[in-house]
Amino acid sequence: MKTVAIMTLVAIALACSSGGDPTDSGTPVVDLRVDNNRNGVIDWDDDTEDQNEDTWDKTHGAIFLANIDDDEKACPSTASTGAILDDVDLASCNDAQDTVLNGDSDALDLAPSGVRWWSGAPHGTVAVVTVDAQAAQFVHLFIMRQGAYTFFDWQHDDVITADELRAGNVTLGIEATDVVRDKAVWNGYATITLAIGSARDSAMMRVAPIVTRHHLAPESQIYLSMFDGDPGSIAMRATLYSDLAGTGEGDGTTVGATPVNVTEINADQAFGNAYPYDDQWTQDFFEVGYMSMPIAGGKQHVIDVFLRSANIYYADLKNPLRDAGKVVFAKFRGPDVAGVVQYDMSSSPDMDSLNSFGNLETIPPYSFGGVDYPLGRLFRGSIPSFHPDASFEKMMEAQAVQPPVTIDTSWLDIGHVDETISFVKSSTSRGWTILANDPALAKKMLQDQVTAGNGDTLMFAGKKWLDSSNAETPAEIAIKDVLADANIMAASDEAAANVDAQLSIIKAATGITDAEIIRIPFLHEPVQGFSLAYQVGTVNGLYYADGAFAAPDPHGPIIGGKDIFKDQMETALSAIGITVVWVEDWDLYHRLSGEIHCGTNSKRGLAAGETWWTSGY
Amino acid sequence: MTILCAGGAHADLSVSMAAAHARDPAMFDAVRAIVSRADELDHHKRGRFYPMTPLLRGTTHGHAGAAMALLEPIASPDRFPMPRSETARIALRAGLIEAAGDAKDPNAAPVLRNVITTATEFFEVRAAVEALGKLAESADVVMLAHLATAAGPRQEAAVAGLGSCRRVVAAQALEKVSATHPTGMFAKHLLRSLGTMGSSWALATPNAAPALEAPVIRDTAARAAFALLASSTEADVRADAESALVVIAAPDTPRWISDAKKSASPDLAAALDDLTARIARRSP
Repeated sequence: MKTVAIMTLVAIALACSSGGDPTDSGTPVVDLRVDNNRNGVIDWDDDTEDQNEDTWDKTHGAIFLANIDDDEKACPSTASTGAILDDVDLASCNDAQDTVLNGDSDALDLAPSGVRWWSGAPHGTVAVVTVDAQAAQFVHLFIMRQGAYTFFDWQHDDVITADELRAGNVTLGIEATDVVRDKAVWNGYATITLAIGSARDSAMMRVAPIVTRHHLAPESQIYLSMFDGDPGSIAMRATLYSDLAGTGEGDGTTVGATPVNVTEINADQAFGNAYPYDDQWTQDFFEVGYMSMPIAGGKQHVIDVFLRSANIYYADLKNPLRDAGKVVFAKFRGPDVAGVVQYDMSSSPDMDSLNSFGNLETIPPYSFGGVDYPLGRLFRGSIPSFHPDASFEKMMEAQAVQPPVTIDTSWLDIGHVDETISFVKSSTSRGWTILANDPALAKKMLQDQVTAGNGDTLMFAGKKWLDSSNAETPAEIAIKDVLADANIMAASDEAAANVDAQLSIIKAATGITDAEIIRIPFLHEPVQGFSLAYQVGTVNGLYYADGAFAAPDPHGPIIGGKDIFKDQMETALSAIGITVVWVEDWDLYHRLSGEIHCGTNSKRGLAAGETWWTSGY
Repeated sequence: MTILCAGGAHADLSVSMAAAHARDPAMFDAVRAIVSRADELDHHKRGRFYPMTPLLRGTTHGHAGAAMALLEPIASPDRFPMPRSETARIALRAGLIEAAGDAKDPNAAPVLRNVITTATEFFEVRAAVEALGKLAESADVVMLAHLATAAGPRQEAAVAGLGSCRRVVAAQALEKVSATHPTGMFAKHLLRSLGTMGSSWALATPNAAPALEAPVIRDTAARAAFALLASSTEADVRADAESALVVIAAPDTPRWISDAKKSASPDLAAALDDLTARIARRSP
């Protein structure tokens, strides 16, 4: 067993001189302390640290973290051949998989705990510390010995000795070895018990859940896949980066400097002969959440959690998942950044698309019907006959702090919630609203133009089907021809009804009203019995800063010098304090069934005052 | 050259394809290029399949012999480097058939009939039923109606594809299926098909259905959807039935709702109220 000296652990070091044993009367002192009052330190002389410590609710109860980051960046991602590791091996490494501290900063991932000093402990006294049976296999205890944290192997007779009790308050540190995945296996709570003779003191702790972020939280990082030299990738990055720099859309041909808040994933990066990141749907193969616990000074210690999608692409049991998801472990996992993957090989391949994270969004916080949802709610496409990987859904529901809302996306070709719905911050009293696809509005706008004598005006002017390596065919089409296409009209009619059904569920769950919802017009077309955005799906954008929404260029008809679909969206969003900027995504995204939101991802900070442990869940 | 068609249709198809190829060889080359890239494109798919249909639609839009070019890889697969992956193969074959169906070229019918009688893969059969249904030749409509109503390996695909066949016989077939109280995904396929068939937006487009048949199609589709709404206990099936009824917007629907509410269970009554609200919200 290796020990690591702790040089600077101010936040969690428990001073032997404080608290302690003021009246050693010979009565056994049996006092286990955890951070019950959630101030980030162990208070030996504060009763709130002790009161009701054997229960856990939104007012009290200690918290610990699943220490599954990689503080020393020691986990390998490639073999000696240069090949990227398989899925099972990539996921199997993290700081909780051993019983040593992995560098000084790893100690910061331990929750503080301690056993009170008993200066009069008789020779031969032993203090036994145990963890309840359900939690035992998921909890590691460490003990400070000779200035260093050492694994406290209580399951193999490790005890606190009389000498240790007499020397001062004993410092313990606690970590979970995993997140909660199945409440039937472990519900995330752990009861730690100190026993000296027949006397006992117990405290309940809860492992921090994975919390997904919502669009009211501040954007801190944008991710996107970068295809060097690909015209579609160039056009998207050129316009997006220019927008982020505040210099307008640009010409779409020159990619400026990568903004500091953008992380590019190099799609051309080779691992041996493989190119696992060759996947432009950056939204789909990972999702960023966090887990946190209180630390001194009213702050939180946050571990970002990169969830890998449960997209099963191969039958190989060691390496079944969508390749690009390896980025979670091979690129992102590190100090205070964890990777989590959960999947069931028996999941139906017919429903696999639902496992992409374009189908996992978060409704921002709200209260409705007397119930508060301070962390918002998970939002997914899932119905009994068409649902994401059941084991992943079980894991997310087991986090318990963001009860899910599910809608029917089975009618959509891709099947993701972000095809028809976006949540954005707004200047309304609710603080947020919904952008919802409205095919009926699109049809009306086009019909109005026919009535006005503009039926021959072209949509998608200058855009092409196919890419430059093959014959390109003009995509442009007259307004009147779109309206005369029975396929497009039937698919759009059905999409209007189906989006209305989606909104009915959201309205019932949140109380949001029709008057609050912003309608975003675009038509659908049928594809193999499903529905796909025919016009550019402008609802599928990136809410990248307060009051700023990057939407895909709709390439709508130009009437009176204006794209009528741009004009509609800019006007509608300006009413709620949002400025729309436009990103060119036709070639690499729209014509391949996605838009900007599908092609980007984001990490957000915590919203102001956000403390998951006070959420009541 | 293998042409997968029976009897005289074989020769007719060969002639049609040869003529189309002579007129527009570039279009045939464009389709061939897409076929050769199917595996690569499949690698970049976002959902179930790569969106072959819009790609192929766009590539052949406005070309006179589009259906022939699109169906050549179906009729003569040995002449093409067909994809290795199953999802690429399904996306390609179903996409070719679906895009060819948009062309409404009667010369395509023999290939489509052959697919319907020999294939069993859901998306391929669905696309072929849809494409043949759009041609709406009377004997084919009867054959498709039979396929949709007879239990068998192609029934669900036939039901799913029949919505684009806006003929009374097809609507009646779907109504007959609804009377069997299907459940789960089968019911959802049926309801989507009813919505497609009776869509008031689609029926308002030129030549969507024979003028005299359109009102009957609409009523029949609505009646079938309403029957499923009333009989199903599955929430998402009821939601789809509501959506189909909203889309169809049949004049009698409000009266059916009113009648049904008199003896409705609380669950059904709630669904009927929801439907009433959704109809009221619908844009024309």
